[in-house]
Amino acid sequence: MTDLNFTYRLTLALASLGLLVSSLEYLTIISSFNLQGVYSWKVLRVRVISLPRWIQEWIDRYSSPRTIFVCLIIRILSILIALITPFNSLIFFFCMLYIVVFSVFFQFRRAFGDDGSDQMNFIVFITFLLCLSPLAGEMLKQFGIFFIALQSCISYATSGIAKLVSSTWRSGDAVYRILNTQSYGIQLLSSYLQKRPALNFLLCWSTILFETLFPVSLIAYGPWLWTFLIWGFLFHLSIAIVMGLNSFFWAFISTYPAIIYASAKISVALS
Amino acid sequence: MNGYEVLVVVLALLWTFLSILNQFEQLNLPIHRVIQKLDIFQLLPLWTFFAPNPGQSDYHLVYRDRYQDNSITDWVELSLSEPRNWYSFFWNPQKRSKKVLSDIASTLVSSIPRNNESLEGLMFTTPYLLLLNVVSHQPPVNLHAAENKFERQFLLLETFGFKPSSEQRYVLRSNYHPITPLQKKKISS
Repeated sequence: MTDLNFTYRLTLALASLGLLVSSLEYLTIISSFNLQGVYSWKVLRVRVISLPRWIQEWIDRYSSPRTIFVCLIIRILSILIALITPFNSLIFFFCMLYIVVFSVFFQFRRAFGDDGSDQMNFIVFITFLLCLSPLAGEMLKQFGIFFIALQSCISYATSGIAKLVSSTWRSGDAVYRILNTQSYGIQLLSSYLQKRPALNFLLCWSTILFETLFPVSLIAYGPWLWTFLIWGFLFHLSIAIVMGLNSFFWAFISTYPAIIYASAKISVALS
Repeated sequence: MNGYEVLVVVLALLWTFLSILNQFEQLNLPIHRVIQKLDIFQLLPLWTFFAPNPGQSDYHLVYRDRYQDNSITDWVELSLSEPRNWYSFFWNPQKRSKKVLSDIASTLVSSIPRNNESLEGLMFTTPYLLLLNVVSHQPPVNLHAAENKFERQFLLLETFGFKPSSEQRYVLRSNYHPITPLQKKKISS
């Protein structure tokens, strides 16, 4: 995969699918943004009472459930329009601008519940905004893809190293303990793992090694690169199925085209 | 490269540098306090998923009512998690409405030591107010006894594992909070 535009298109398609699902999920729980809901602005606005009154009023205006609903619809439309619009066009730029600005505002409005998939989505879409803008040339476009690949590698490596320094992960207990919770686990699987410490150990250490070594994929174009990517695909798919963390799958898989592109370019440069 | 492109590259490199620094936030160096102050929208990522200390427990939110005749109801649980469906790997809105309550509870619990376990300090934190708000809008436990003003108390429990017999511990018990007639009216409508 050495075609820059194709790499961007694939990244955009995967990231957009994740953001579409996420937007639709929020639309179905829009009542959570009511006064009595978990995202009640009546409570969350205590964070802005120290701001000037006009800013408070401005934020208040855009924080009602109805406005959030409309903003989410506009985000869905922006995603759909961007999918069929040429890069570097003004329409594409404004779609990306809206998606990024709304993401920042939406994160502030919710205050809780953001996760790694939202953070990765933000990185991917702000890269689209800045590196595919009408002012961006080929070099910046290429830089954007390398940036996404690098951020993805940093995320995996950080997660792996944080697990490596954890005695719970090193001892091989962590996966069972996480899956033994109602929030993230499945009772049948938890019971199955309870009786198989060797399997737990394998799951913990394969996660540690895969995540920590993931940046190697950037300099390992060929079978090793595909090993990492297939591992990652199955890793995120299993997390989505077992733990219900569906948004992580799209957010992280969307960075894989960039990793393939960057790896191919680096291998050419090294050879 | 034009000026715009140089600016974007510089910003991207700065972002990468700050992101890497942010991963070591547990060291709580002066630079981390500066980053926290500047990053008001919490844009810088933290990638330490389920590490170094993975969550190994579930929080449960229960509440009860005290009426004017001093009678107190049994505890009623407000579910913080729901069983997943077969399609949750693709479509899982519950994650955003239910699990966030669990995240809020977790944040509240993590702030208990900083407040010396004093409820007075905790009661003014956003997580406490959010849980209180959600709990306050639940219907009265005893509809008949709740015709007049009543009070509500909530309790956070922590359990370990799926089995009902698994270990559980009390994490936080709130004061009794009056439920205003306005909230009652909303509940009944």
